Amino acid sequence: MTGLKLVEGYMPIQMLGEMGLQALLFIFIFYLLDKKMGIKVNKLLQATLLFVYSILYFRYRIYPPIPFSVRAIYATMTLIGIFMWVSSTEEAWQDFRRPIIAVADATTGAAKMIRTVVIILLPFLVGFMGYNSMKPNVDEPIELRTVHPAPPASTKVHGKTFVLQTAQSPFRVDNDGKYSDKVQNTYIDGNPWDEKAPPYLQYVREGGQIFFQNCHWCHGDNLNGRGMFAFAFNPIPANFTDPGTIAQLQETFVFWRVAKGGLNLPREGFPWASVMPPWEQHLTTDEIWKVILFEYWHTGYYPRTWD
Amino acid sequence: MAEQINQVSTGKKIGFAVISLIIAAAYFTWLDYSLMNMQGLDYFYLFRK
Amino acid sequence: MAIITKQARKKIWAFLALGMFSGLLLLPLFLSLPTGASGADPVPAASAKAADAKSVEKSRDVWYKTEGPVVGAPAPKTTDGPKDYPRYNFESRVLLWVGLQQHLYYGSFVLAVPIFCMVVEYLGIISKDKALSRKYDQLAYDFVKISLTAYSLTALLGGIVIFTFLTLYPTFFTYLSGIFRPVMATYALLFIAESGTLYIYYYGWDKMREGFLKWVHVSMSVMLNVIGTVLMMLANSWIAFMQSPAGVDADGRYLGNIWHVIHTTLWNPINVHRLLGNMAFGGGVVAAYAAYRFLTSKTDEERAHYDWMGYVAMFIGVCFLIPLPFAGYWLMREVYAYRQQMGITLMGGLLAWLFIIQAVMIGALFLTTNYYLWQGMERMRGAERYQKYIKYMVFVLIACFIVWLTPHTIVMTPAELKAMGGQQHPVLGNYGVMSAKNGAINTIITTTVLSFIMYQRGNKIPTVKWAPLGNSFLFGFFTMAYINIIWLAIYGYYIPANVRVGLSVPQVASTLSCLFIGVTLNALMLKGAKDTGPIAWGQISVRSQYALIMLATSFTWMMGLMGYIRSSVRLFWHVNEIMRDNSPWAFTHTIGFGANMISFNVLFFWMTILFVFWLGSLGAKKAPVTAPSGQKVPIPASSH
Repeated sequence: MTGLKLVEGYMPIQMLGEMGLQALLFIFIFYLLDKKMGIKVNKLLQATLLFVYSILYFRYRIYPPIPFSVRAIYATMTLIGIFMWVSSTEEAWQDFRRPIIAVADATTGAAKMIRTVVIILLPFLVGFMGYNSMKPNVDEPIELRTVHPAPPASTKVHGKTFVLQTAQSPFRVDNDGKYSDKVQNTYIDGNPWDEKAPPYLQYVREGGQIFFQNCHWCHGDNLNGRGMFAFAFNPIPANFTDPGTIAQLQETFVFWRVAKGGLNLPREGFPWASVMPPWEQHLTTDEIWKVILFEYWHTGYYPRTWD
Repeated sequence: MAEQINQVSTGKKIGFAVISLIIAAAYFTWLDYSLMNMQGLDYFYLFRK
Repeated sequence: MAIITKQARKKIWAFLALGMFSGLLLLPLFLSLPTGASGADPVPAASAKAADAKSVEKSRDVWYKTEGPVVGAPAPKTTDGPKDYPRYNFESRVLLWVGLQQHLYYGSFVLAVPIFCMVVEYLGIISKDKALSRKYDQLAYDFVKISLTAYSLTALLGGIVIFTFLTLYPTFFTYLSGIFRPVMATYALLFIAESGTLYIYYYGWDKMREGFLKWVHVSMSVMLNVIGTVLMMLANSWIAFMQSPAGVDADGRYLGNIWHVIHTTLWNPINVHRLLGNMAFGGGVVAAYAAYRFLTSKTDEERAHYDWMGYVAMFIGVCFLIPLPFAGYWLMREVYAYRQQMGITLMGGLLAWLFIIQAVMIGALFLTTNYYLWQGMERMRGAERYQKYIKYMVFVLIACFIVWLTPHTIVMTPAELKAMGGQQHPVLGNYGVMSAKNGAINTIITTTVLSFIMYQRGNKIPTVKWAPLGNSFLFGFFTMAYINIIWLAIYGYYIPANVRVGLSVPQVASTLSCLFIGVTLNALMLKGAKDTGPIAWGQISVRSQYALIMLATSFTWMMGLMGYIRSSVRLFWHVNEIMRDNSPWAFTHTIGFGANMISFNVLFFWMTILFVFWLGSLGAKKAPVTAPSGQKVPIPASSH
């Protein structure tokens, strides 16, 4: 399994590609067995094999391991797909049903034996499931945590009110000092240490300094949420390089979250599983805006806009 | 059965398919470009950068 | 000569009816024109005069920002107690929930079925085939017969809802009815008009069977639908007002302009969404009815008839299902534009989990549709040549659904969280965002279109000269469409968010191109095609009928779910930001409780509608069998 590496950055499409290749291989193998070698494999057996294989694939192939809830979704989808496939034509459906009907009818000795065993085992299975669901569980309970809680319409930081829908970063500006959503794109490869750097890059540099003085202990020097204290927390701090964090959010949303920290999350943010300090107590408004400017510039993501 | 009604050689079929693919590719590129343009966005954003 | 003029006249009438039908669909647009509706004028004028007598106090509209004379009382500030919230020993909100949901199910059913009736009756008139024409007519009649019982049930449930509302939330009800007084009166009058038209339409069916009278009859169905749509839009104005109030000032005082109160920002998106949703739902229920009759029928003729009916109903339902997501997208955009936090509460916050359940339901709908089409190929001789492709299509659908259903925020135990090393999974995290989801759902819809094209060709072999070219073109077009959709999905990861959101438009356009170009081209190719045998109606598998029932149940469940989401996004407000809900039930229910309630409502609805179906079948036994002799059932002209 480790021989076939998942390539960073291409993993999602790689997984889909692998799934496709395996499906083709599966079809090809049974085509060969049937048409070239004359071995007709029963549909029920094929379906069972495919299902077991898919479970193993999702369990062991993908790393880091997929949580159970998602694997359950995948297994259910696979099962539905298999059912649709075996029952798509009357011929396949009859082939699929044959062994089941044969066991139920039990006309031969072997079938009779299987039926008896199944009838004996079935109550045990139900009993086992009952036992499993009644058994006291010592694991921590699952939390449905809202990662990005709904923000308020406006927020008050250092006595100034910011309307989240309309506020803009005062430092995302072009060389004339006017707000510009193109400036990050222009200077994405610029050098912030250049003495003659445009104002935007100067702000990025200042933001970077603030980041490395205050934030990188937890959010990491690569902004990937793996700072030196990160693993003391559960859940670990936000990973800004992930397309699901700052890339999904408005700049003002990030501003609000940084300013208010984990302590001042709104009611919907329950269970408030964040220990980020309310940075408004430690940084000025300008410093918060600059840090955010740096985070977007460094990761190369753009803040979300609504139009 | 289709072959009995319309006898077309495999080579010709491949030719048709290639032409169709090219037309379709052109159509979808135009579609992507013009619809992005209508929204005031640049479809070839990544390549122009 | 006489024949020609008769045909010409028929055509004129056909165009008129078509014009009326499209006019009906455009009605929401006309009504949205931002002029003071003439019908609404007298009321504000009169009340303005009354206000002039006292010194006029002016105030600002919360949404339109216009000045207006204060006419109404401010929104009452309620307190928890028997005065504002009298109660039984039970949660008042849940009682109202059940009542409203049942009323809505029946309401949308009786609104949708006349629309079908109209379409099917019209198809019957323009159809050249006499037997087919009679068959369509009979089908339309069957539809309206079912809806008649449902109609009285709707009125009954409406009464129950009003009484429940009045007794459990008297203060809130008084406030709302104070503002909507003229609308409620109009509503009641329209309801009477609707009943009258419906009865004439139903009981006059036989009297108005031939010639010009038949056209009068069809026009009556158009009128019925116009009234029904206006009724629905008026009812929508109440819920739209509760969600995005306008026409009142910040204290909730009515400012004398009833049009502002009706025409709130979310009113039209809700109108369009509900209209389309009703029709998809109605198609589902009728299909389920047909499936039920198919499964219980004893003869081959009956089976053939109900197989055909189920197919037609499913077809209409799915036709309206396809534009539904776009209407939903519009509604969502308007919600975001109205209040961003409301949008985030829906899509990323408190209610986001319900949207994942919605995704599951959408998945079920499309899978079932595909499955039904594949099963339908079983009853066509010659369709075997397409059956070998089914397994590949199953794979594409399932792979897309795996992407579609991967949640953005994953449910996991803390142990799993540690093993994964963070909230975000490097593989699955990428499936959780919009780019991947759009790609997946568009691929699914395109595959459904492909299934439909295969189904259409099932028993036909194209004979037109350019068939090989056409086939190659279809192949090339679909291949490139798939590539384009997937490419746009991947491309979305590499460009900024504001450019990325724009990508969904060409993606959807690719899917729609496939739908329109693919289906049209295919239909052209099948002109004069060689038949490999008629469709053997009735020889479809039993599984397909269960698929239809599943389709209908999914529609019902999804409707309950989306209604719950839309209603609960107001959180602790009766009227958003105007009137606070101070009852003990202002909290948002857990997902599990909500899901159980929806399931209960669905179950209850299906139990009662089975009763309605049964009533319908009682009537059918008395009537003489007018169905055409069933050796060979004709094929619907629209799809073959």
